[in-house]
Amino acid sequence: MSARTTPDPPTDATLAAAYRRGDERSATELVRRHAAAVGRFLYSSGAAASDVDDLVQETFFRAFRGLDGWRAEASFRSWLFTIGGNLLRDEFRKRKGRRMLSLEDRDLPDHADPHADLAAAEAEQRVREGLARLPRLQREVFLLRVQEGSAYEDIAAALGTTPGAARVHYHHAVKRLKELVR
Amino acid sequence: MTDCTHLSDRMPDVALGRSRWTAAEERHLAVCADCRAEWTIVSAARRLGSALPAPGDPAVTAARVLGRIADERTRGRTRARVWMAAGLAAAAALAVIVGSRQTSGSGPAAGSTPDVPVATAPAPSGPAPVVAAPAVRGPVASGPPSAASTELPLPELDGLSAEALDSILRVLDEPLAKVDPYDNPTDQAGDHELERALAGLEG
Repeated sequence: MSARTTPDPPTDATLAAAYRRGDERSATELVRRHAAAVGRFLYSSGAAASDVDDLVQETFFRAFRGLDGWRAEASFRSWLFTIGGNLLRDEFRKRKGRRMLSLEDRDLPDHADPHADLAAAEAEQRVREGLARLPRLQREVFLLRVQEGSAYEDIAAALGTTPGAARVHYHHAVKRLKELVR
Repeated sequence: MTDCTHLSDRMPDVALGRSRWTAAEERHLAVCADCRAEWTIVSAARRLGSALPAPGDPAVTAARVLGRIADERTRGRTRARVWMAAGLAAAAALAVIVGSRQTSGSGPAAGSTPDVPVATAPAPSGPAPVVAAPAVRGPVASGPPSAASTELPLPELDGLSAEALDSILRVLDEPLAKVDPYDNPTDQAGDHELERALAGLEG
């Protein structure tokens, strides 16, 4: 009786290479893997909830168009986040500095424990508003670390900085958020 | 060792569910207000966007994205073709302009004779060959022979005698063979001959 082994799923690098060779299903798989995380990153960075879908699509458009720019030193997702961050900056400039954050864009609590959930939702909203006021590098380092659990080495590769500097940015972000959220 | 820095480093992993607090870490959290504040922020940031609607069908999103990229490539190729055509047209126009400038100074006959000299072709007798010459020479002297100039209808010439035609052709061929775009054609012997003919006509 032979043991049945499931083949390892292809890595992002393998899918990207397949897409470069013309395999569009690989692009679909990359979207499936990362779209939700990119959407959350964009939302956490200040995008209005109603804009998230369009911004996710635009992020993937820029990513696939410039796939040769991804050298796999950083993870594909971290690289997507930096593209999303650039996109948000462009949108922010287009809107002439008006913040994209909308007060209606708060995560609504479910009804299991309304009081606890309301407190959690308020904390999230304050953190989101605080994040929108952070310098971009601090915000992106913080979100990559907290939402993705990325190591400082990966964050540094994605954002073009050093692991030590990424660690410093993270701690600055936490310190500033503590002041803003208090 | 459980201190604030250690806890701070562990927070993302615990928030993401990759790890759990140890008993010592929980005790530290219970007494350290600063770490509790940071934990509130990290766990809230971790949850951000979790209530967003699930992204649409990835196949649809991918199809839209790839469709846009294909459109962009098509537009890029079209633009390249348009620019290439425009470049060729500009080059052709430049060549025509340069060509016409080089030949526009080729003698009084070029500037003063009509484009279609056939209408003023002479009567087919007497001094006809000489009179016809300046008129017929116009287009020949104003540029290199082209399909258009060689295909012009010349019904008047049909009525000329062989001798008269030969005379005209001699006058035409001689300067044409000598034409050098860098020379002043007015110095050519053929042109003097034509000028004399014109002077004779004008009395």
